[in-house]
Amino acid sequence: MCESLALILLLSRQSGITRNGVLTVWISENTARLRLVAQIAAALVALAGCGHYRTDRSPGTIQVDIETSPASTDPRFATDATSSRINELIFDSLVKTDRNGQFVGHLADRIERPSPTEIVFHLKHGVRFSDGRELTARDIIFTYDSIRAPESMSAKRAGLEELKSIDAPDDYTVVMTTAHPYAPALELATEGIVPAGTPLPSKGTAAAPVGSGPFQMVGYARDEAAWLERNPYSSYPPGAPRSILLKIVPDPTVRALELAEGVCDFSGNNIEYDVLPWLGSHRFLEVSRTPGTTYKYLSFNFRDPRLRDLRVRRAIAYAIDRNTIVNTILRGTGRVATGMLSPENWAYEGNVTTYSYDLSKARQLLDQAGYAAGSNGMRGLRFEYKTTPEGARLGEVFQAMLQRVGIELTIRTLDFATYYADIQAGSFNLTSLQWVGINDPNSYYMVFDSQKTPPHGQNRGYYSNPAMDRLVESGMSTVDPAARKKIYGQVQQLAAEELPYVSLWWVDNVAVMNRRLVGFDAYPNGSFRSLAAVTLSGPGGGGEPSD
Amino acid sequence: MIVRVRNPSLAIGVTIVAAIAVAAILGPMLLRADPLSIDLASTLAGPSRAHPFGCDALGRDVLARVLSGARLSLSISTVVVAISLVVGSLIGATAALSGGRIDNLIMRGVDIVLAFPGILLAIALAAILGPGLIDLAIALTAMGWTGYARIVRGEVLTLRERDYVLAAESLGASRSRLLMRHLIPGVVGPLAVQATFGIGGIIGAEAALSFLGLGALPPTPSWGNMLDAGRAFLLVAPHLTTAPGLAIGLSILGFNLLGDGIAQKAGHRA
Repeated sequence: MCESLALILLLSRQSGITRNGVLTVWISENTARLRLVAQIAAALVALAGCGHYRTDRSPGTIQVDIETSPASTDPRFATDATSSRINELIFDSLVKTDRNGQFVGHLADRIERPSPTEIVFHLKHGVRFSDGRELTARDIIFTYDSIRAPESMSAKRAGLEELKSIDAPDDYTVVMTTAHPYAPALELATEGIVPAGTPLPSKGTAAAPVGSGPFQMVGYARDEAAWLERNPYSSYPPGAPRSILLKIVPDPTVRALELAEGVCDFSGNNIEYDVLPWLGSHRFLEVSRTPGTTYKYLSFNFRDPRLRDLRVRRAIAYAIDRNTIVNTILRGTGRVATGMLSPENWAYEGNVTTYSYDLSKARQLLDQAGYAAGSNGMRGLRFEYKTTPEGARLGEVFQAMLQRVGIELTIRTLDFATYYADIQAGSFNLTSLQWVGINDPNSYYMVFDSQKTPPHGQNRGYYSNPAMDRLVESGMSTVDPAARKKIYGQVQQLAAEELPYVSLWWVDNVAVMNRRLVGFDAYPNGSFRSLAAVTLSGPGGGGEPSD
Repeated sequence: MIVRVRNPSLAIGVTIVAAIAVAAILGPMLLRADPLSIDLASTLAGPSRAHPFGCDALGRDVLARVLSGARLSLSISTVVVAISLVVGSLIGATAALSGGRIDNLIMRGVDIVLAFPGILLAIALAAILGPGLIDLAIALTAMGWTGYARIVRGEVLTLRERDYVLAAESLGASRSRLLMRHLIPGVVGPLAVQATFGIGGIIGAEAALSFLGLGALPPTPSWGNMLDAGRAFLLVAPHLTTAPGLAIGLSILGFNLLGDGIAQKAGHRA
């Protein structure tokens, strides 16, 4: 295991839930520091040397900088967010989410639900993979079978547990049957489809298999770049990019410099907030901020008896001045959160218990819990806060804020792999993470049900409350949307009351792009999908920065 | 009249080291700003009257942190060098005086430790021991003692063959008298030079380990972790990296010049 890069970027390593509820991990980049220094140096030289940087890209190509390599280029295996972003450009699924997170047919023309446990998908005709083969129900069955096969070792298998069977009565019909009435069943239909017969991926470096999406991957070098070209069998608007260079740039400073140089055309959610005003001062760059669904939270470990005391958790919630953090550290690119579901979600319930910054309430609660303040104001409460290097800055803010009420926080900064292993193993007192791509409220089941402790789910704090279990389990099996919404309203209130997490904020989506990209539609979940539909302005579709 | 400084390295080295030492000792007392107090409203603020070096990503005074980091760097490096020097000298002298198989065994041990790239060994140790100042000192000592051991062994071996030592020996001087009166005074010069360079080296190594997150834990300011924290803000707040970077560079330069100066002086005398 290499040392981890200390990139100060809150967003670069995240963990989250993908649409189908499977854990998403932004895999850490582990690259030698030397390489990084060389990159910075090269970028600085470029910055100093040429005011009119000429790109050597062919016209019609756009460069998108991403912070890490995708964990897998095969959609049957990729659960990390980087892979999901890329795979959306290459593969199609039976259904997809629209910009508001609602499921709409994609490969499926029409969807029927003849019974609570059965879904029938009628496929579009004439959809072709980038090698010219037609996509039929056989490819869909093949894709699902290869994920579900016991020998596949795919992390997505767990997400498909509810799927009892999948059949193809004919080439253009797919029938999914679930074991029980399963409300979020359409999430099962979001897997990217590969052609029948696609072998399982060999060790990580291979380019992606062919897909039926707008692009195909024509080259891939781990930790360097992935090259996407248009799928010749998929139509695209005139002026749209013909190819995309996805360059892997782990360092946030280099990413910012590449945008400022006009080398990179698009950067999504991976630029340090403090650098945004500087980038915005470049006339050919556009900084767009849109409300996002990414949920940042502070997690407690309930195996620590001190943290099992609700008064201590509430005191911590009162002691954290989230408004100030959002306005200063985040430079306003976030909204103080009330719960995991953002206001854009259909099941959102905003009328829940909230904790505004209140030091005297926090102190009072700690006194009541029996942790009296000593002569130096400290209360003999010492917790370990684990974090990745990117999160260390936030950790220090929490440290300073909790010290005001007499709680001592020691910060352990670990490389992502170690950090993540510790969190999964429940070896932490406090930590802060984020969920990316929250869509169906069934996510609550994965994170708060007492059965869903690792490795079965993401209840890493070992929170256990029978009332919560009952609610999230009935939310899963209740198909009627109105009844479900009511259940999840109660879930959100219970979570706000009991504080298995302190809700911090919903992170805005921040895209920085060259103005030659016209018509980018920022999705609340940060998807890259609309890159396929943007058009390029300027001669030959290749504008240049003018200053 | 032009004053010709006979040993400019020594003069400049002494000046820089003395200035840093005075700043480290007196600075935090004179400065009103607290290196730990967070003020989110002045995040990344540039240099101003109230904050001559500006504020860091959490609104803490950079000057106060650099001075506080100077204390940490100087004290850690002094302690590490002192321990390494004593341990290394004892081991080196033991090897030289024992000779034969014991010498061979000890020196092969030294070779093994030397075979590891020093910083890598320190990283491995810091990873095992966990981050923290004491662990950092242990890790740096573990990689630092070998140089002293080799110098002392080499010097003792040559000194032993000198006529005055042989004379003392043949006159029946005890082993401890030989060591105290004749051998130790002989190795002090080279050791002083090595130790002075060593302090500069340890300052750099401490900064490197803290930069990697293996040294001083937040919120304790160290030059290394300040550099690390400031790196993401190179484009908008270069003062965050400039200040600790200059401090590291200047202090290593100071100690190296001082070492050069001492070596020159010792050379003249001999």
